[in-house]
Amino acid sequence: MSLPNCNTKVLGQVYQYFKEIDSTQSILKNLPSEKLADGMLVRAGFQSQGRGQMGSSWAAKANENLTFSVYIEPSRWNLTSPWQLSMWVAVALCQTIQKLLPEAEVRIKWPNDILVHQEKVAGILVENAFRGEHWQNSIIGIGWNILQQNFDPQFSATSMFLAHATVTDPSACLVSFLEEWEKVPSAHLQTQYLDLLWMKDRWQSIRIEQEERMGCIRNVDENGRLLVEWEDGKVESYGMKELQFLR
Amino acid sequence: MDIKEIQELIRFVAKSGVNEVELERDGFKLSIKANAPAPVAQVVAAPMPVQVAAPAPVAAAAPAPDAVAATAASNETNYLTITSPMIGTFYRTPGPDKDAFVNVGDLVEPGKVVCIVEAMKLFNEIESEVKGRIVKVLVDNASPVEYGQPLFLVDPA
Repeated sequence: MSLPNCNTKVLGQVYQYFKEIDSTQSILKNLPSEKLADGMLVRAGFQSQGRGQMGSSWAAKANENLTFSVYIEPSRWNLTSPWQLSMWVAVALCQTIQKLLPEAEVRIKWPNDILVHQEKVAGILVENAFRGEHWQNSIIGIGWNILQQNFDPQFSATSMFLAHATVTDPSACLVSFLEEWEKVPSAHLQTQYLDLLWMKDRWQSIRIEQEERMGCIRNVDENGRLLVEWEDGKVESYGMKELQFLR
Repeated sequence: MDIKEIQELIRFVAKSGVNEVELERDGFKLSIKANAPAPVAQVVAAPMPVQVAAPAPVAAAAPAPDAVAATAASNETNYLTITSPMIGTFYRTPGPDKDAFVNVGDLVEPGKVVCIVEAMKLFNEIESEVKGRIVKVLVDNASPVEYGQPLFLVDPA
């Protein structure tokens, strides 16, 4: 499967499609450096070992959804921190989906899931290689539901097709994303990211240390930690897994 | 070596779990012994007396350069550290139920992945910059780590 009419300079210009592989992340991670090119994209029709966070699998049937990984050299994109890269990809993907679904409410759920009408439509996983303190390269894995129609109810997920039945071509979605991504400047993203952040400035019930409290997402810091204001007026920062958002 | 560097070294030794560190530079010798709970630093300065105004660690300055010189040379002075490039959670394995990237006694070289520091769903594989043998893993698996925190001691010999 080739990538039709992709008008990018770098992203996806080196493109490999596999009908079925264990994981697109592993393919890129195991390639010797001389075979890697900035912006190189590996896409799988089906991933047998695709993963979300530390082992939890991203359920996708063959060719229904997009599962791909992109190799990025941070120095070529003026990226100074992994969190900046994470925001950059999330903003680009969120904006792409908004353009494909103009009527829908599209948001980034901190740190980098994409929601359509409060349900997850895409997830981003970033693996960075550091040599000591020096950031060498990144492999960005994206799982994006395009045509899937049946989801395990406990996951609260959706697809592009379910959101709008005119979206039917995964490859076209991928090209839209790559073209959008290349246009989004990688710097000064904080404002855009916050504008797209799900539940920002809205009071909600949050579970923290087995306690339920009313809190409000206010900001993210330079490391990507979430700044939450509590009812007593105190603002504190949190990492992943410290908070659970209740509905 | 100024007082700030000595304070940093004392803090590092206290965190690392190493019992004793000796360091010899031009003109002076520094020996830090960690007698639990608080580390005790003995600064032996040859040309100039050093006064350390650190709050917790006790530093004793003595003009006796030969006193420490008699002790056997310790390899620990030469150990290198691999530090965390960011705040996050330290993982010794690539995933649950997987083998550790490195164990004590393993040889590492530049480019060898030694651990993952995870933060905000960003998985950061940390490669060694140095060549040597892992002598100590300084942080427990799945523990939070700070920017610059020593993670491994490496013997370059």
